[in-house]
Amino acid sequence: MAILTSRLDAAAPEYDARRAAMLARLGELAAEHAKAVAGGGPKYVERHRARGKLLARERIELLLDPDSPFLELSPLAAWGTDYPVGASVVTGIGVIEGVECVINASDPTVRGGASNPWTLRKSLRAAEIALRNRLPLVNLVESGGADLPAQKEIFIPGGQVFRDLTRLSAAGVPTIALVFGNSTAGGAYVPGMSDYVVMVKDRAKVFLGGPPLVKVATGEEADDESLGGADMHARISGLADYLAADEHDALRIGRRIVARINRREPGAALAPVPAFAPPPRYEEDELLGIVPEDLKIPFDPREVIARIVDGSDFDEFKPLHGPSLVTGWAALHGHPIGILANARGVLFGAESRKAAQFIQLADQSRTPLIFLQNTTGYMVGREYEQDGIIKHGAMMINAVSNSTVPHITIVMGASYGAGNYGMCGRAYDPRFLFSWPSARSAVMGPAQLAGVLSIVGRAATEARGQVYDEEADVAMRHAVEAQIEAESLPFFLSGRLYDDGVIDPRDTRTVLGLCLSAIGNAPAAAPAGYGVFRM
Amino acid sequence: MRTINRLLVANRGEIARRVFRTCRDLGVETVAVFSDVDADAPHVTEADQAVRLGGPRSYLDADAIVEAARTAGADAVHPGYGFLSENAEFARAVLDAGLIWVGPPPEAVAAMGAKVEAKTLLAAAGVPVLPTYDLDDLDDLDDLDDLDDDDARPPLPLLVKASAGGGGRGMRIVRAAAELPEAVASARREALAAFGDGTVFAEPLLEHARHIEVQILADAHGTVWALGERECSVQRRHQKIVEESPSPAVTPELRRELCDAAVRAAQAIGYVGAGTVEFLVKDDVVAFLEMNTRLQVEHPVTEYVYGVDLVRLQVEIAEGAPLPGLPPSPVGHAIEARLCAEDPANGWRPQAGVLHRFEVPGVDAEFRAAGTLRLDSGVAGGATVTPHYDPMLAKVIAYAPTRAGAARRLATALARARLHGPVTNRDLLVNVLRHPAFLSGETDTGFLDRHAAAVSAPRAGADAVRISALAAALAGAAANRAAARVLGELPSGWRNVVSQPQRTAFALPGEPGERVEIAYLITRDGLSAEGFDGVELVSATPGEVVLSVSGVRRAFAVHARPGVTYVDSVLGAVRLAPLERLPEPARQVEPGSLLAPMPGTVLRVAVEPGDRVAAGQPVVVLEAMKMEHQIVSPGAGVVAALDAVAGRQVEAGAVLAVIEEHADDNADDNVGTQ
Repeated sequence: MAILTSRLDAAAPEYDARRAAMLARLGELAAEHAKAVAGGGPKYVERHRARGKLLARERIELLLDPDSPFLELSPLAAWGTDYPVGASVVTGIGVIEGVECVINASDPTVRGGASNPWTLRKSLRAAEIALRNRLPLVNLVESGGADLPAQKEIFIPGGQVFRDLTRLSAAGVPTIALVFGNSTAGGAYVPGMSDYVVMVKDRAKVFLGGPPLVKVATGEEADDESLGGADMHARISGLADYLAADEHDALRIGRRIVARINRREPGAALAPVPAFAPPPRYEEDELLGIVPEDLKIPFDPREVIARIVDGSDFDEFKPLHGPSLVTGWAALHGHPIGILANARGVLFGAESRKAAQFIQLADQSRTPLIFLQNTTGYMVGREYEQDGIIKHGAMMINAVSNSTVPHITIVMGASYGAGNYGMCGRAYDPRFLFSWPSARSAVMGPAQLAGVLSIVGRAATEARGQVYDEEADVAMRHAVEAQIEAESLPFFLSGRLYDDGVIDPRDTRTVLGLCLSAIGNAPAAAPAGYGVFRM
Repeated sequence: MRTINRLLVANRGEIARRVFRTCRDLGVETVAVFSDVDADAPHVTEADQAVRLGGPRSYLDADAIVEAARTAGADAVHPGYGFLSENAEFARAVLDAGLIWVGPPPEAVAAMGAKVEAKTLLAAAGVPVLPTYDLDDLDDLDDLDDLDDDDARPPLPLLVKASAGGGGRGMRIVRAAAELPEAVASARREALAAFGDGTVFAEPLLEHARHIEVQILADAHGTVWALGERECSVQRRHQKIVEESPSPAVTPELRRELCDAAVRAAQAIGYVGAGTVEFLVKDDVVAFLEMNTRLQVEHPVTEYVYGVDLVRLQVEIAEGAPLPGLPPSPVGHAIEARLCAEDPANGWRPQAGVLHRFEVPGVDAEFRAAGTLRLDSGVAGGATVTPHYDPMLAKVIAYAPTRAGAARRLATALARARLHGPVTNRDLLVNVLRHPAFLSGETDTGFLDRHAAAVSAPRAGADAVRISALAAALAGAAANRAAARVLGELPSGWRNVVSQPQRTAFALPGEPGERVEIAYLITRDGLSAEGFDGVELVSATPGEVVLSVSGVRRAFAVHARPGVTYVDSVLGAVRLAPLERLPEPARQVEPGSLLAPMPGTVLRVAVEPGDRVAAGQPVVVLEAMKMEHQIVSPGAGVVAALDAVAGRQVEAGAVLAVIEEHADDNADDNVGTQ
């Protein structure tokens, strides 16, 4: 037992300020989530309901086990683009008949559920999560197909949707399609490539070409039902395995299918989960008051760890060496984990070597790793370059890249420069990556970036023998700072699918617990073939 | 003096257990008899030996019981009450078999069994009686009004009674002469079915009288004790449901008068053993009603007040012992309530099914007048209540220095009882015991009719049902979390993007079409449930939910069984039927389906497929528990399907017919069959 002792002063004015700032951002987050939940807006929601149909999230709620948790993925997809927040699809991880599944439900209230480029990226990410974690994929289909004006960005890459379905199946991960409405043309291959297909009577419409196209192509007169009705597919073509009487019945059948896929969570590679995991000894609510609004002020990640791991029990590894990076072992909802957390932003050589060694140890003991990011990057400067900071950073990046245990990354604060890479940023394929509303990610801080541009610009001007325009420089720096700041904000990055969602810091333990459990469905690959390099 | 060493109880349920308890005290070995449906009943498992009799009605098989006594080596037979307890032939058969009969002499049984003769006999002995009208003397019942002999002409209202009857069976009230023929005919039918004797007679109906009875004990040496009175005025359809001793209406003078009359009655027929002389008392009128030559259901109230064990005294008298010394004096007040599996809101329909839980808190004595709360129960949790016998599950008896104290103790014990299974009359009993008229002693046989509205309302009103449903939903959520194979430790119903509440719905058994929908969300800010402003969740486990409503905390005990959830709280007991979120389409009952309310036999089918029926029109008549139950059409419509076949056994919930409702059908549309 190594119980962390919190030094957080919840009575301090700074705490209140940090908490107030975080709550303000959570308010903004809730407003953005509400936009996604509102789908196509009241008019289209009403029209959908008037047809006796359930909304995408209502379908999901009925599909899930009552009172079980559901982690919605990429809810802010398409944020900051021309497309509606949420990208006309709902994806997430939930429990159906005791089995963790990935669910993908098109939202027909948003432009008929048509796919835009962000819909595609969000769906592909969900399919990737299903494949990597071996979670059955349930598609709740009702989509008008591709958003045609954007077809150039959808048509060619969109083929991956169907490829992924059959690759999931080939990998032994069941795929299920519940067809509630339109699933035509390319969309017909969603049921077409799924292991199990349920179609709702009088509602599902699954064909390659509808009546007008058939008429043009062959001159044949045919109606919707004979070309692609649920009844036809259930009785004649055999594309539908089950004919559902209505939407509720389709969801019921979907649950029965999952109940019968003989799913057992392997998790053998990971230690068994104890029946009862002690909660942290400190209040989760205090997670709101840890991260300073100004990310230039460092904070102690142990305050975060103390509020997310079981019993606030954390065995720190190499506490005296490379103190800017905290490493150690803990459990979270009973799952053993290793944690790497930035303590003072900067990664020096010692921190890099410590990280590389720690990651190798986790690989050896098959322990999943959690990265808690708040880094400004690797240290620069003559002394550090001469000491080999690039080599040391490379060791860390090498270890992260080739580690075979699952990684989960939480961006708590800054995630700048190569620190983003070494601390398992998106490009390093963590199984999951979530941001707090306080997160910032960019190649470097906005002020630094503007400053660099300014210095480079000044040098170029002076090299040409001209006089540098100081006024223009100020304006330029402000503009650049504002742009970089905006583009490093979590909503913007989440909109571009650079994370799996922006979460309330108080939900961190729950999100990690859910993800660690989901990860347990896919055993980790064997570690690389060397012993642990002592760094 | 003879000694009883092994006693067979020719009965079942609580009375068999009651007798066995005394046997154990005395060291007498016990023999139970049982019908096939009672094979696992407590009275069977508790006895030293048990002998199978046969079908459900085999408790009436005198030969089989005598044979059982012989086979099991019993030397005595106790008849309990009901069944063969007042059957003189059975008593004779027991005696003829050389066994000791724990009951009065067969002659006394016979004398009191024929009600008409009994009245004549006792009138002669100076016991006050009401005039008797022999209905067999009337050639044409329709001509009742034409009778010119005033003595032979019965006054109205009139009570038609079975001569061999008891317990309200074969009894009919006649208020108009025209009703008499049907009343006599149906009383005869019922009497014949229940007692094997269709003889009926009539006497003036003494309305709103008190039912007061005297417990007597007579030994074989000429000593007769009268152990005071019991008042049993709170009755439904002539069946007692609340009994007490002493009566709030009996003065010492009246008590002396009643006791003297009872002793005279016992002496007049050479009575030996325990018996009860029943009277109707109204103002100055005291009229002998009947004498029960057996132990009464309500004997525990006398046992409490007089500090005696009546069964022990019965056994000792049967052994030939004299009554010990002087009769004891009464102390305190005892009230008994009969807990029955019957639905007061639904014509007292007997209920059958599994009794999942049966717990009465605070019971400190069973089958014994000790402590302050006594339970005499024929069932235990897990028992199946069958439709074959009397629906009484148990008697609960409270004893206190005062009547008010006993009523309060009993009402609270009943209110807190966990009765999870068939519908019971519990709420009605609690309402009676807490009713101001009852508490001020204003009880007579019209009590239930007079206060029907007040006492038949379920204790849990609409608001209580709703909050109980919320508690059931939250307990269900806790159960779902506890049973979760994965992610069970995560917060209940957690969402990172909140879009809607968790929804669950319940049907209300007994109220077709009614449903309670609960929508709730549990977040780190607590509970928010639609329509439950100001309700806070204090704690929730699968078995108990504590809610705070406007600052008042209440615990709701929740017991979920497949298809039904029981919620008990201070607000009352509530039964809810959880509705499946995603029901299988084929399993949904068609709207308009008429379902069998209980297991029984289809007696008559009153319609043909395709018939038009009006609202309230009988469709099927079901016989269950010796009573006829009409299944009527809920609305105007057409018989779309008819599954019921006369003579066929049906299970509870079986579809009997489907009525397709037609809103445009007028009530005066007379095309349909009648």
